[in-house]
Amino acid sequence: MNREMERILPQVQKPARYVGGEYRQIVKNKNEVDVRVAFCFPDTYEIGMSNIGMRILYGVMNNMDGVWCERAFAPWGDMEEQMRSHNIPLWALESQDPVKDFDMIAFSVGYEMSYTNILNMLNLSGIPLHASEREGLHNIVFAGGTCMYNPEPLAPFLDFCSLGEGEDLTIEIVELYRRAKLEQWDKPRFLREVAKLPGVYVPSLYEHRYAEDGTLSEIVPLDGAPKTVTKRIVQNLDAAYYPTKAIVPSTEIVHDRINLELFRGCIRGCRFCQAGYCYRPVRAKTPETLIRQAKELVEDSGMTEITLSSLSTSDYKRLPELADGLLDYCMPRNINLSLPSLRADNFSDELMQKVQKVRKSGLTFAPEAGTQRLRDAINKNVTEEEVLRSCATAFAGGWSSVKLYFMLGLPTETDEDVLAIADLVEKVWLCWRENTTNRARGVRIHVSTAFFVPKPFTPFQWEAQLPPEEYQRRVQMLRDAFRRNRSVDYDYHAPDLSRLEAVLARGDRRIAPVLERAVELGVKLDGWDEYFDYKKWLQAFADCGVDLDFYATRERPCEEVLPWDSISVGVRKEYLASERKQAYASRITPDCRTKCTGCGANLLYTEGNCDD
Amino acid sequence: MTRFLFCKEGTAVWISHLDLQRMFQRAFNRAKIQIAVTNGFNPHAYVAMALPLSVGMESQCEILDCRLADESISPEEAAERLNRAGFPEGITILKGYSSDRKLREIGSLCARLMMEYDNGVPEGAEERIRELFLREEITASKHSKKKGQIEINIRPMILDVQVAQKNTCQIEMTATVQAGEPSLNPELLVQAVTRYLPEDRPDAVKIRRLEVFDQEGNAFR
Repeated sequence: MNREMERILPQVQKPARYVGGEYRQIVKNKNEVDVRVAFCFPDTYEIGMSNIGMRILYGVMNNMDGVWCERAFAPWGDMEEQMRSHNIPLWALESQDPVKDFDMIAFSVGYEMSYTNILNMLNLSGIPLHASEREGLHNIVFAGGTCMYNPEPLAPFLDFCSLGEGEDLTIEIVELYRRAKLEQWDKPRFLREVAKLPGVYVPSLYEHRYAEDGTLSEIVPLDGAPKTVTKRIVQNLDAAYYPTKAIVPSTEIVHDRINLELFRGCIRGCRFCQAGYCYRPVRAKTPETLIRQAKELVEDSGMTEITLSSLSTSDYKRLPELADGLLDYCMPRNINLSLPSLRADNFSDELMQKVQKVRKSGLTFAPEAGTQRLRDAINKNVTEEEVLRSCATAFAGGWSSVKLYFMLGLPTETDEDVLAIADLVEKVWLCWRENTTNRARGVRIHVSTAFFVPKPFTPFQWEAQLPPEEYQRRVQMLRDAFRRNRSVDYDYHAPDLSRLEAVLARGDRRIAPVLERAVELGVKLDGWDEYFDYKKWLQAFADCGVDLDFYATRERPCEEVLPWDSISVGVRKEYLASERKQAYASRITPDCRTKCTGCGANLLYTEGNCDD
Repeated sequence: MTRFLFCKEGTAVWISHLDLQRMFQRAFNRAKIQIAVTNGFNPHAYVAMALPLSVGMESQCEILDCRLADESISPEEAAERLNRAGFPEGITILKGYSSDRKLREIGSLCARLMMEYDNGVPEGAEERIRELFLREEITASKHSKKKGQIEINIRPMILDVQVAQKNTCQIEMTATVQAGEPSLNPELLVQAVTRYLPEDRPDAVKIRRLEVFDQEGNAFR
C-alpha cells in the first residue's frame, strides 16, 4: 500500500472497505497476466460485495489463465474528498494499482440511480468519460447488468455493453480482447469485432435520429452492426460456474450471508416487473446441485446464514425437497435458512413451519395493489383471500408483525384502488385480532408504498408515470385513511427519486449530457439519502435544456421508435403490447407453469424447456 | 482455556475490533472448531480478546482466549487448523497454547511509534521529545464515554519512553505504557508531542504493538 493511501485511511469511516485483503480475494502476479480487468461496481463496497452477479463474474474471469480481475467500488463521500485533495486516483482493491492502469474496465449496472457513480468513478480514476476520447485498446470501458437493456443514457461513455447473463459472454469478450491486444488491433477494429459476439451491443455503431417533435425517428446500425442484439442466457445452470469459494468480506456488508440462487427467470409475468420479463426463460438448478453448493459455501466461508434468492423463491418447483435437504444439513450446524420474497398465494403452513424450525424471520407480502381489479390489471395474481389466509396462518403461528408492500400510480389506478389498500390493511388487522395467540402483545403492520416507475421491456413500457403532484395527492389520501389504526406504520417516499428513475430508465442519448452535468454539480451516491440531491438534478436538467416530463409523464404511442428497440431480451414487443391490452381489460395471463402464452423467450433456450 | 497469540498487520490493521470478532467466528467455523457456549438463558460463546487494538495499528502480540467445545483438540492443533483454513491477509496465529492466567493480569504493553517527517526531522527534535516525557505532568485530551472530551494527565501511565532518530525522516519512540484498567492509548503520546512541541509534529505515525506484560513486567502469555 502506498504511503499516501495509508495516511488517508485513518481519516475515513470504515477504512476496511478500501483495502482488500479479504479471505479468498484473488491475487495474481501482474507481470504474468495478459489482461487485467478492473471490475467496478457503481456503489459502495457494502452494496457491491452483496451482488451475486459481480461475485460470479469475478470468479469467471479469474478462472481464466492469464486474466486477473480485480474489484473497485465507489468511495463514500469522506474518502472521495481525501482522494481528491491528495490526488489519489481510484484504485482496485487486490493490487491497489490505479484503475487507469487496467486494460478493461467493467461496470455492473443494476440500478439507474447508480449512473452518476459510473461517471464519478471514471472521473476519480482519471479516465476520460467519453468513449471517443479514449484511444487505443487501453481502458476499454464496458458494462453489463439489467440496466444495460436500455444503455442509451450512458451510450457516449461506454465502449460496449454485454447483454444478459455473463457466464459465457464475458469469457468470449476477454478472449477477443486478449487477441486484439496481442495482434495490436486499433480500437475501431476491436469494436467492430466485439460487436459480432452475440449479446454485445456497441452504442457507437448505432446512429439515433430524431423527429422534429423530439421523438426518436430511426435507429441506423453502422459498419455492419446487427439490427438487433439479443441478450445471452446460460443454458444449463447446473453446469454453470457458481462461486462456492468466494470472498468473505472482513467488514459487514448489506447481505452478509450466503446467497444461494435457485433459479433464473420468473413464471409470473407481473406486468410492472422488468426482472420478470428480462430474466426469462425460467431455468432452475436441481436440489442436488443446490444442496451441494450450499454445503461448499458453508464450509468454505464459515458463514452461518443462507438466503435462498430468486425472483419468486417459493415458485421453485422442488422447494419441499430442497427445504428438507437443506434443513437436514443446516439444523444440526445452527445455520440459519431464510426464504425471502415469498408469495402470499403459495405460502403454506407446512413451509412456514419448516422455516420456523430454524429461525423465525419476518413476514412480508407484496399484494402491490388494493383491489382485485387492479391486481388483475398488473397480473399480480394474488387474491385478498390468499393474503388473509397466509396472514391467519402466520398470526396463529405466533407472528406479530407483517410487512405489506404496494405501489401507487400503477396504470389504470383510481382513487377507489388507493383507498382499497387501507381496507385490505384493515382486514389484515382484523385477521390478527381473530387469530393471534397473544392479543396483549399487539401487532405491527408495516405498509409501504412505492411510486410506480414504467420500465423498458415490460407491458407498461409505453405508459406515463403519474405527475409527482398527483402521486402526492394519492399518498395523502392513503395517509388520512390510515390515521384510524395505530397498529399501522405507513412508509412512503417522496416522488423525486422515482421520477428520476423513470427518466433514466426510459431515457435516450440526450440524457447523457444531463448525467455529465449532474456529476459536475457534485451529484453522486443517489441511492443514499445522505447524498441524494434532487435540486442539483433539476439544475442539471435545466442547464442542458432537457425536459423531465418528456421522459417521465409522456405516454409513448405504440408506433414510436423506442431507444431500446435495437436490443432484445427474447420477449417479443408484440407480446408486451398484447399484455398491455390485457391489463386495460383487467384480464390476467396465466403463469408459465399453467400455460405457455408464447412470449418468445423460450426461443433463447435451445438446450432445454422453460421451467422444466 | 485455549489461548492464541496472533499478529494483525498489513491490510488487516483496518479491520475494526467488532469485525475482527466476527471474522474469528467464521475462521473457527471454516476450521471446523467449535467454541463452547455458556449454559445461560442467552448462551454466548466462551471467547475473549485482550486489549482491543485501535484501527490502523499493527500488532505482533494479540491475544484471543476461548474454550473449545471439543477438548480433545490441542491448542497447537487448533492453531494449525485455523491458519490452514485461512484468514484475511495480515492475520496469522503465531502460537496456540493452554493458559490459566487471566487476561486481567496484563499490566502494561510496549509499542513502537514510528514518526515520519516528510521534510526531514527538525533540528533537535529528538532531544526535545525525550525531554518532553521527563516532565512531571503531560496532559492530553481523550474521549470519555460518560463525560465526552476530557483532559487527563498521561504521565503516570507512561512507564518508559525511548526516543531515537532512525534517519533523516524518522524518529522512533518505543514506549511502555499502562494497559488494562485503565489503559493508555499510545496514540496519546503523539498527541502530546503535537501539543507541547508543535514544530516537532510528525506528518504521519505508524504504531505497532510489540509486547504485552504482566504486573511484574514479564511478557504475558
